[in-house]
Amino acid sequence: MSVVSAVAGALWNALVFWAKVTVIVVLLVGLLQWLREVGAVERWAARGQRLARAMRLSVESIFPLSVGVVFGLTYGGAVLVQVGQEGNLTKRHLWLVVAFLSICHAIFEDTAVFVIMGAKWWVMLGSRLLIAIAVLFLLERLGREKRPQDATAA
Amino acid sequence: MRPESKRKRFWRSTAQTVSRLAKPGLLTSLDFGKAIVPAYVVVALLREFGLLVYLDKALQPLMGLMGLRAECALPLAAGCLVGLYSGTGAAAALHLTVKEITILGTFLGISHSLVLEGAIVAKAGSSAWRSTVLRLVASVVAAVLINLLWRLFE
Repeated sequence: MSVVSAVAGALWNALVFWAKVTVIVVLLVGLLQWLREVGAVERWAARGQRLARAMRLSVESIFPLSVGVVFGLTYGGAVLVQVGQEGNLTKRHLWLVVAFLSICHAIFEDTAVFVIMGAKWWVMLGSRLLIAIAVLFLLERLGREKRPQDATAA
Repeated sequence: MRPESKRKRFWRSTAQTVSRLAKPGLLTSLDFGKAIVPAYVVVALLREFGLLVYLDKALQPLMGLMGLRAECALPLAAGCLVGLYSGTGAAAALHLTVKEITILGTFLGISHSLVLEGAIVAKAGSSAWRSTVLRLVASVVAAVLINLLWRLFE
């Protein structure tokens, strides 16, 4: 009896939690879908070019980067695969984008789901953004020191 | 046939827009439910019957450094291997404090679905294992930092 009631209780709580997640996901995905339909992403990406230069990223990387940060690796990855196959990104810039996105993607969805459990959203968002930017900075530095050697080897 | 009144047309097009925007989110959440509910139920039952005590002894040192109870290893493993929403479901079953859920959320936000997303990264033409190692290291660094600095965030 106690096993049955424990299972039933757990199942009920799980469904309640899922319902909460569903509300968040529907609102957020709907909003993001709408932003994509009205072409806001492309416009923001175009405006982000100055930011890209400040972060020492190539202009071609800003579109997959912004899509990935907002929509997640599934969408960002798709754009990245496309950009990668077109060959507009050098291997090094591709790795910089992948490194940044590995740490910092789907930042709204991931954060929202934990916020309904009580997490502090600004700690989650802030730490991920800061670490991603720090990693980008470090990798960019390391890559730059290696490049002259590559040139002499080639 | 009588032409539709202006008001009727407005509501009809609004309903169409809402259902069009809500549909992808609902489908996604239906998918998430398959991850959330089993993970929640399994962890809630393990906890109910006191089986998590053993985990506690084995993992305490590492988890303590990140400010987490050893129980949290379950959502961490589920999130890293299966997917973010399995990790979320498992975490929801544990009744964590604000600090714990923030740390756990940040860890899982950075490191989740490592196998699947590694495949996406590889497909984009970058290194899957470098990205995975980077994510795990960044997760642990973020968790330890938030744990140490938590007093500032309250």
